[in-house]
Amino acid sequence: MYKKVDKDDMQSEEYSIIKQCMDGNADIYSVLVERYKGMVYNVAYRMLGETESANDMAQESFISAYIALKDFKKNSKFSTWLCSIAINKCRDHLRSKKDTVSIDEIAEVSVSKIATPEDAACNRQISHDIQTALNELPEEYREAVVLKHVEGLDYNEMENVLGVSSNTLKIRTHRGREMLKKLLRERGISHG
Amino acid sequence: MDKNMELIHKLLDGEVSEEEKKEILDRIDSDPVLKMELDALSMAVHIVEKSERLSVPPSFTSKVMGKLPVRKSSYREKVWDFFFKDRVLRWNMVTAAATVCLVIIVFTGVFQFQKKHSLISHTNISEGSTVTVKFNIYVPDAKEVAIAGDFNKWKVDGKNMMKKQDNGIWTIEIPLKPGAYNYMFVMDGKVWLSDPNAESYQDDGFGYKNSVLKVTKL
Amino acid sequence: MKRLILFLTIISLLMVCGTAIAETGQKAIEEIRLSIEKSAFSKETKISLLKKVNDAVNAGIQPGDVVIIVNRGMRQNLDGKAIEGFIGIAVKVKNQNLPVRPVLDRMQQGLSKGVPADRIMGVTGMLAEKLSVANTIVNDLIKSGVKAGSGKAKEETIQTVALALERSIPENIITQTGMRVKKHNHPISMFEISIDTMTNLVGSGMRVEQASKLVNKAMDRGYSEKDILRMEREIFSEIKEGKRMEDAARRMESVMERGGFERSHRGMEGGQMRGTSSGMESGSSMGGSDSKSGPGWGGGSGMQRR
Repeated sequence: MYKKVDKDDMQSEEYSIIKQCMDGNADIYSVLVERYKGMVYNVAYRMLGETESANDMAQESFISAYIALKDFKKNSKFSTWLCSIAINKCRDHLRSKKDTVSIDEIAEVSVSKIATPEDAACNRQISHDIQTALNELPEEYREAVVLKHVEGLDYNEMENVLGVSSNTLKIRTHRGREMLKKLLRERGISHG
Repeated sequence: MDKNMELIHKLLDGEVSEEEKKEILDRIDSDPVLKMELDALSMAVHIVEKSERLSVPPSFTSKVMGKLPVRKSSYREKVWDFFFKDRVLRWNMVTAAATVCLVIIVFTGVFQFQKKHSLISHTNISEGSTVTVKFNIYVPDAKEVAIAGDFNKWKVDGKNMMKKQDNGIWTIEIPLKPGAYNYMFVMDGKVWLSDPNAESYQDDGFGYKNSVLKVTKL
Repeated sequence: MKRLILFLTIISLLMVCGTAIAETGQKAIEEIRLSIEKSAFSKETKISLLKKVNDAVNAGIQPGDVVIIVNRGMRQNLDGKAIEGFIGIAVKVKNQNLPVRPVLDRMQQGLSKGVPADRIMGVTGMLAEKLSVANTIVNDLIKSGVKAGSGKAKEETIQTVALALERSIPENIITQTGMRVKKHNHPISMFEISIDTMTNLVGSGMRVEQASKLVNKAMDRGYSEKDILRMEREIFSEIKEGKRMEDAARRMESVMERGGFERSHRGMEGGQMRGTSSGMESGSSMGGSDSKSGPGWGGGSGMQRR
């Protein structure tokens, strides 16, 4: 019961903040930026695989969201809406990058980052490897896995973020997991 | 995908009841190949879930805020009204908790006003008395939050640090005498935030909006 | 040897000016002296800064306020000259017999927020000018027969008028409200509250003409100081509920036309408040503030309970 109130509580507070932004009090937007920068930045990082672009795309996501505040529907969650903007930014970025970076370059990066079994114990290395593995997933699978397992969203929320039916998202997540298992196994991180 | 694998994924999706879970685990236990699959997949999921969360670069918020375009409000306000005007009442009901302070500010004023009239007594009304005001702000990711205002000469450190509650809300109680006060919250020693629930705001002349709190004598 | 000369110069300076220093300020002065001495400033800067500090204390500025400005300035790695400039503005304001608190507050605020020194200098210099204009407006009003009340009330009024001027509320609009106050035989505190309300409304997006019309009308309708405060709160709470400033102002006007705004509180009093809040345990916090605060009122900001 109290948990329910919490959610409504925060949601209505966020509507109030958005309203104030629309009324010209731009400063107050910083509250929302502070609240969700961790989520947006980490989603962007897991989608893009490197911090500089993640930082740029996360910033752009917040700016685009601010510009589009008028399109925000009051019965939706700001975080979900923001997340979908961030995902779109990442897709655009990946698309633009595809034009400039050759396949060879990508392959070289992945090969050079393969870890030895000794390294596997090292957390940072694992984190690095998981990113390399995520980078190798097709975009649709990566989105699904990141939202499901990095951000901990449920399929309903993911449906709102990605605009794809939850059944499709389940399949993408399942396939993403399978691929990830394989990739990690190749790097000597998983069992088996 | 084969039926058993489907079950494993259902398990990993966290969308099974306790009974189903037991049933699936029983079945998997009796099948070593299946068990290996589950272990490998769980491990992959575990690694993803526990992978290090990067901390956001320190100047992130100020960079975003610096790049925001100037908003032309009148047209957008109309659009906003079009979308939201009819839900104002509903908003009122569900946000009672979020706005309860504002409600208290408005109503305690009324309440006290009435009380004064009904008691017709001025004996317990002294100008020098203080009230304890509780300030709250929700910034779960902050490492530290302080309140700075004219009541503490805009001092950020020391006893002006707020306490974090389990729910991500930072809070502090401050005794104040009747008067008008300007204040802001300071996150991690450098990001200055307006109070989203303040009664009103005032430009500080430097480009920030101070939150304003009025404590009235009655 | 050099250090010794510096030390002696500082000590002798302190002794020359020291007679004027109150005992309570002694500790603060000592604190400034030590931090200035420890700083990386040149000998000359140290001496002239210390002299400025003494000027300020002699002019009657609280040593505690001076300490904050010097220390924060040094922490921001400001030039010694910039810090001297701040203190200079404050001394000038104090010597003109104007309220110095708003100027000190703005400096302390700007330094704390990391605002560049020249911006602080510009803003506080402008504020000092506005205080001087405000002083003239308030004095003229008192001369014309408006009751001055306590010295504190007058000082607060000057501050409020200066802030209004700073927010670009025209002088003639302010004096018009002053004439209204005089016409209705109100004391200066009514002028203070009216101008403050006007400034707050304008600061939140109301047009100046509309804000002044609203406040003047309230006075014509016989509103008390508290009524005007309530009017302001009422408008802000409507804004929070999603109303546009324009609509909230118009509604308030029509409520006044009907002869008061008590009715607008209906349905928001007692019962409903407790009803909604008790379900979320906020009732207790209200009760708490009630008993704790006694005559005042306890409010809060942000979400009270989760």
